[in-house]
Amino acid sequence: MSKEMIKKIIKPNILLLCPIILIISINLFLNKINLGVEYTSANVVEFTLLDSLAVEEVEKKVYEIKPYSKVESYENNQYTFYYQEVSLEELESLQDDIQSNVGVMSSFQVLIYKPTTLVLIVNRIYYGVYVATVIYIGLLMYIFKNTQLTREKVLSLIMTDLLLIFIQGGVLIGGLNLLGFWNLKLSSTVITVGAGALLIGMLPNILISRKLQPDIIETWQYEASRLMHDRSRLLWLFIVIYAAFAWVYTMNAALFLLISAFLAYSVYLYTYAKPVLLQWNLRGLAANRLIKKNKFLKKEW
Amino acid sequence: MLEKLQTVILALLAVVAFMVAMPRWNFEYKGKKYEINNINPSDLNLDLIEDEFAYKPALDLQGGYSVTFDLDMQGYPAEGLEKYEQVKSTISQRMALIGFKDFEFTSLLNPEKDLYSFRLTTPDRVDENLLVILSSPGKLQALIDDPDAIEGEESIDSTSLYPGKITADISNADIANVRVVSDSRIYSTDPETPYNYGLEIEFRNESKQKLNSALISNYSKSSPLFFLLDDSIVAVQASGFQIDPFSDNDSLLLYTTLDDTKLSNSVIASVMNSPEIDVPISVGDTVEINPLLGNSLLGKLRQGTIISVVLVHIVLILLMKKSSILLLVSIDLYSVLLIALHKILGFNLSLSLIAASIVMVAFFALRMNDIVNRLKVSENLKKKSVLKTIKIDDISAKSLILRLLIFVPIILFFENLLTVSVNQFVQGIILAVIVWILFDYFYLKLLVKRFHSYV
Repeated sequence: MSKEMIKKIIKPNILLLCPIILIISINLFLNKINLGVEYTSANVVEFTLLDSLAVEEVEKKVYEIKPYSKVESYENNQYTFYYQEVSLEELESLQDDIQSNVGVMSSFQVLIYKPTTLVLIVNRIYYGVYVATVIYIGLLMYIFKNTQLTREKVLSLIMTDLLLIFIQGGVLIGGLNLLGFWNLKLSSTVITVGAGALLIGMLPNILISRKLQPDIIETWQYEASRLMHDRSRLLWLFIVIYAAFAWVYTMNAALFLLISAFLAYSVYLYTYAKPVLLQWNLRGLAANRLIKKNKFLKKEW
Repeated sequence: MLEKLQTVILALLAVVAFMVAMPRWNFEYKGKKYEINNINPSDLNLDLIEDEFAYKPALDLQGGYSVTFDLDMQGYPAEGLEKYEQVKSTISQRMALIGFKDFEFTSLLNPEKDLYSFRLTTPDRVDENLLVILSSPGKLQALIDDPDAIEGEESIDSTSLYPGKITADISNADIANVRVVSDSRIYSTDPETPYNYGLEIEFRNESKQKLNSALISNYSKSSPLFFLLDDSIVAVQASGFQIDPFSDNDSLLLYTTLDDTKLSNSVIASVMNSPEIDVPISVGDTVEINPLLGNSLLGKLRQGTIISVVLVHIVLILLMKKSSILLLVSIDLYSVLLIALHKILGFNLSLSLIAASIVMVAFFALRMNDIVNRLKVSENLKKKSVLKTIKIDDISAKSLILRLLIFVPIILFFENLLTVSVNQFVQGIILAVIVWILFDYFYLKLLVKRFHSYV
C-alpha cells in the first residue's frame, strides 16, 4: 500500500474516530457505565388498582407523573415501576398523585429492588468473554486455513482482528452509554440488540477474510472494493432490517440511529481502516527479532 | 439411482422440517373455523417424546408467572438485613441448582417497614408444592431402623412419626452434591418399572463414615434408607442400588416421593444440596405477568417478520432476477431447518433467539450470495465440474461429526453460564452454526447442482 494511499485512508479515519472516541471517553469518565435497573439496584413503586384499566394507559399516566426506567404489569391489576436514583421518600410521595390521576389503589408500597440473577453469574462473565474470544480466534484460524497464508501473517491478522473487535466493542458500549442521556439504560434487550449488531458488524471482515491470498494488503483492498460494489446491496439490506428490528423491539429511535451508525462504521472499519492497521501490524512483527528469525512462523498455515 | 434416492430422502426431510416449522394458523371459511397446526411427536408416533414441537414461551415476549416469597424477619430485629442476605443466598443457590432456563429471581425489600421479600418469575407456571419446598427450611434427615425396636412388640414407639425408625446422624452439612439422574436401578419394588428420574446423593469425604454407619444399621433387615426434608419423607434408597455397607461408600441412588419429573427431582436435589433456612417464609399466590417488552410486541414481531421475508424476496428477485432462485431457495430452506430445530429442541422464543437467528440468516445469505457470484463468473458450468469450479469441497462424515462435537457442547456450556438473554443469544448463534454445517453436508451440493443453470 502506498504512503499516499495510507494518508488518504488515515485522514478520514482520524477525523471520524477522534471526536467519537473523545465524546465516548468523556462520557464514560464522567458518568461511568449506566447498567440500568436490570443489573443494578433501583427503587420501585408497587401498587394494585381496584379497577382494571388498559395497561398502556396506566403506564402512560404514571410516566407523566414521574418518568420511570422499567415497568412490569400483572393480570391482577398490579404494577411495578422501577426508578433509578429516586429516593424511597420521593416515591412515597407519589401515592396521592397516582391515586388521583390513575385510579383507586388497594395496595401501595415502595421497595428497594435488587437483581439476583446477575449476582449468580458475575464471576462467570470473564469466563464467558474468554470463551467467546477463543471461539472467535478459532473461527478466524479456520477461515484462514485454505488461504495459503504464512503463520506469521495469520498471527498478524488475528492480532489486528482482536484489536478491531476491541475498538468495535468500545465504540458500541460507549455509544450505548451515551444514549443513557436519552433515557436508554443497559438492559437485557439492549445487550441482545448490541451483541447482534456487533456480530453483523463483523460480517464484512469474515466475508473478505475468506478470500485472502498471500499478498494480504492488496487482496484485502481488492476484495473490500468488490464487496462494496458487487455484494453491498445484500449487506446493506440486512443492516437496514437489523436496525429496524432494534427499533421495533426497543421503540427507541436513538438506538435505531446508533445501531445504523455503528453498522455503517463497522463496514467502513473493516473495508478501509483494517488494511492500514494490518500494515502497521505486519511491519511491527517483521521488525521483531524473535519473529524475524522464527522458521516456524514462516511456514504455511 | 443413488443420487435420486438421496434427493428424494432429503426432499422428504425438508418437507417434514417445514411441517414442524410452520406456524399455527387459525382461519374461518364459510362460517367454519379451521386450524392448521405444525406436526408434533404424537403425529409421528414418537410417544417417547413428551413435549410438543413448539417454541417455549419467553418472559420478554409472552410473559409468564410471578410468585412472591415473604420473609417473616420479626425474630431477627438486629440482624435483619444480614439474615435476609443469607436466606437470599441459599434460595439463589437452590434456584441455580434447579437449572431453570429462563427465570428472574429478584429481591424487594424495605427494612424501615420491615418488608422483606423475593420474587420469582418464570415463563411456565411452577407447581405450588414445589414452590413451598423451594422456600422450605430444608432440614435434611435420614431415617434408619431403630436397633432397639422389635417388630410387633410394644417397644416400638407408636407416637413417633415413623414407628420403628430413628434419625441417623446425617444433615445438610454432610452432603457434597445431589444430582438428578436417570438410571435403571432407580425403582421401588418392581425392576420392570423404574423411575424416569432419581437422585444421586454424594457424601463429603469426612461424612462417608456416617453414611456407612446408617447402611450398616439397616443391613440386617435390608431396609432402605429414607431421606426427610422438614420431617416429610421425600426420597428413598433405590431398591436396585445394592451396596456392601462394609465397604467404603460415598454415594447412593434415591427415588423421590413427588412426581416423577425432572423438575420435581431438581427441586428436591437443590434443597438437599443447600444449607438450612431458619427464617419462616410464606409463599404468595402465583400471578400472571404480562410480557416484559409489552403486550403488543409479539404481534408487531409477526408483522415485522412477514414484511421482512416478503421484502427480502422482492428485493432479491428484482435485483438478481433468475439467479436469485438458488439464493432464495437456500435461505428459505436454511430458515425452515433452523426453526424446525428450535421447535424440536424447545427453545424459548425470546428476543435473543430472534436476534441471533436474524444475524445468522444474514451471514448465511451473504455466503450463498458469494456462491451465486462465483457461479456467475465461472465459465465451466457443466453439472459434474460445477462444484469443483466454484470450490465447494466435499465434507467427509468424519469432519461433520468432528464439527458437531465441537459445537454441540458449546450449547450445553451456555445453558446457565451468563444472563438468560446472553445465554439464549449464544445458544441461538451456535445452533444456527450447527444447522449451517448440516445444510452444507446434506443440501448445499444438491441445491447447487439443481439450480445452477438458472444463475
